[in-house]
Amino acid sequence: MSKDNEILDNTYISLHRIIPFANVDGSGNRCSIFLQGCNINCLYCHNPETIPLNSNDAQRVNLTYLLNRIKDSMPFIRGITVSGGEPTLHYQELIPLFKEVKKLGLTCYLDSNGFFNYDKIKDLIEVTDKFLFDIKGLGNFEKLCFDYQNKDGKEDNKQIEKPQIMFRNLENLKKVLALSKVEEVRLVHIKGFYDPFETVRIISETIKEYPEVLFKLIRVHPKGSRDNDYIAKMTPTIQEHNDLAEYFKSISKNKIVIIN
Amino acid sequence: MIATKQDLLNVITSNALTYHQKLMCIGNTAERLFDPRELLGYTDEELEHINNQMICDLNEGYAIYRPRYIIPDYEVYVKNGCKFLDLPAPTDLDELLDGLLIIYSHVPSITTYPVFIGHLDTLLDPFVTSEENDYKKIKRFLNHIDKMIPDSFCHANIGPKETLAGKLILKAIIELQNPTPNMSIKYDKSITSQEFAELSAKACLLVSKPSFANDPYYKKDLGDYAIASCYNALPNAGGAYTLTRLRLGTIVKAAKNTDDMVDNLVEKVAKLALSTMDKRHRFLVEKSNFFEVDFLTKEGFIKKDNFTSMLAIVGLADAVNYLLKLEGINETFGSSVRGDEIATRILEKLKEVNDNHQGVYVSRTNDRYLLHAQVGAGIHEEDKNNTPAHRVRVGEEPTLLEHLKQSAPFHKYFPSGTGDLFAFDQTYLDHLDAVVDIIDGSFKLGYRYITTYLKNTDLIRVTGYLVKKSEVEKYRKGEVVLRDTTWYGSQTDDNAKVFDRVLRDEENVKG
Repeated sequence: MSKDNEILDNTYISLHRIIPFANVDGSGNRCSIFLQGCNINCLYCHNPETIPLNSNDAQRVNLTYLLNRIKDSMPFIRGITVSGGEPTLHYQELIPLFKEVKKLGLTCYLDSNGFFNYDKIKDLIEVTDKFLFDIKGLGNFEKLCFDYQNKDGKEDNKQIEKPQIMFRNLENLKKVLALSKVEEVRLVHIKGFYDPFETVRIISETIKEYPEVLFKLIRVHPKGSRDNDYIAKMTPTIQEHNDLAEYFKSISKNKIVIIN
Repeated sequence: MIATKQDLLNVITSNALTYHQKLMCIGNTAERLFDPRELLGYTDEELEHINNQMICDLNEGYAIYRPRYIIPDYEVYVKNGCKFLDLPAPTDLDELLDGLLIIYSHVPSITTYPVFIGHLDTLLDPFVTSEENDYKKIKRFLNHIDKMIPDSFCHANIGPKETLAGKLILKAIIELQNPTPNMSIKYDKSITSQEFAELSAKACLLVSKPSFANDPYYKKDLGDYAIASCYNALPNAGGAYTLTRLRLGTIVKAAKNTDDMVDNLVEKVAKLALSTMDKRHRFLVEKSNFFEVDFLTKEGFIKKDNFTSMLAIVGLADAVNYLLKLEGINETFGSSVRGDEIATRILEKLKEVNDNHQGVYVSRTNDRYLLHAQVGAGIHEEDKNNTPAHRVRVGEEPTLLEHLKQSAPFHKYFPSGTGDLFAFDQTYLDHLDAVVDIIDGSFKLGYRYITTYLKNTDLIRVTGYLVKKSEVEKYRKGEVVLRDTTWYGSQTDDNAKVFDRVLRDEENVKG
């Protein structure tokens, strides 16, 4: 057995699920791989079962298994998109996987919230073709994503501290932009946590040098979140959402996709 | 089937057919008043296998007086005009479109309407001068075809190269939402632009056409070809004399076991079908005088030597399901490894029988007839036991990925056409690149032809042609409708529930 095969057989990863064909996670038809475990706790999360690092929902699988599942989807896909959870938590395991996948002539995308430690995952970034970059917010959004104690995602008034990693997303976005490794920047529009207009302004400012980068503006959906009523209260109206989209268009030349 | 005078009277007094539909049916019924044993020299055994429904001649008629499908080379008109119709060669787009419409009404076929109306984009493109004005003309032309030729077996080709005319044609069919003409894009990834492919994919989702034909594959098999009728790939400037079907789902009922089906029945019935085809060709070529009198031959639109013929199958799934049951295996075709093995044995045998048969008047295809995977019809009760082509029975389909892989290996057996079709959800409209990826993948695996459509559109592909669901509803209520293909669509849905074909949404593509 070659050394490569040994690594693939002996490296295990927590898999939530695989969608053999997906048309929403990056360009073309892709195989989507959802890994278990997240480094944040978004109150509107639609897949809260993927947040804990260990879960009964997840399967421990080796990279050979993943690779075979990816091969099953060939030749209908142009690449894979690894999502989560937060896929960069598994950076060590993903590096050998991406190297093998690229040998198949496929591209490797990461769908990330950008709170990673850049230096720590540098080797993964090197073998990543594109990021789908999910900007959760900028400014005062700690309550939206970093209230780790709030496991049920319920409404409460408890104040929490701003953790250090919450400022990393914008810095990391700038760094991967400079590498031409961003396909889209995404923002889920919700009221009451961050300043939507200021956040959109900073995003547009950040990506303006990269006209190929797509901006996806998504109106939050209460359905599927843990506290429906709470998220419903924070959901912008279609009018408010379109106003924000119009604002982006008025200050940016980047292409925007609006999802209501 | 041999017809009777009572059949004629039933057509004449029908309350569900238009005048033209009656005229067509009277003609067809009259052709079948002749006993083929007397007129064509059929043996009793041959006729018996038509009467027991194992062989289906699609009621083509025994006094055969024109080829089933004719593929005129319309470039002849562009170069020389048409003497018979007193049309000079066209000098601008108006003359061209007018001339084509006139010629179409003089192109015979089994349905009396033309089943091939040209490589439209390459015909039109040299005459396009102004995008805005010419778009209006092209759209009017296509709408004229839909109303003048009320038969969606009428088929246009575009591609493989992107042209302005091609783009205007696609724009127009999306706006018109007409069933006719049926359309295929000859797709070659090394020639067709990604933009043109995505625009075609968009039209295919919205109005169920054009379907994608694997151009390099068909070229390799047939040389200069065109896609006509449902998805019949045939020599250009020629066509096909006949299409005779083997109902595998009916034949199998006489089988004692799988070996008996493959080694005895398929061989015996295929040989009987092939010899009836020989006899039909002889009558058509030697007795009917078609090639002696028709202006299409005289002026070079078609050549006698460019004709071939199709031996077709339906009901592979039903035959395999029947044999799986006999073998005590509780699986169905589409999700059964053994099922695919049985299917392959049946098709290999059929190929062998056909390869060994010296065809009559088919030098263009090396004196051989071409196998075809036919899209089904509702001519007889037995058609309920015969799923189109080599398709999986509706309701028994595996997931999209498995389905594509399962079906791809069967495409190689059918050089005169096969195809499968997949209903997609709305989200694919925003991700046309993903649709093209799926088409590219299928061609890499050996697909010849693929169609997609959106589940919730009114215009829907039944098996190989398009119908409006709303028109089928009208017909079922007993109202008179414009298009003959609406009757066929209604019958096929009654038999095969094709309107309920599984939707390829996220749930379905899950692993």
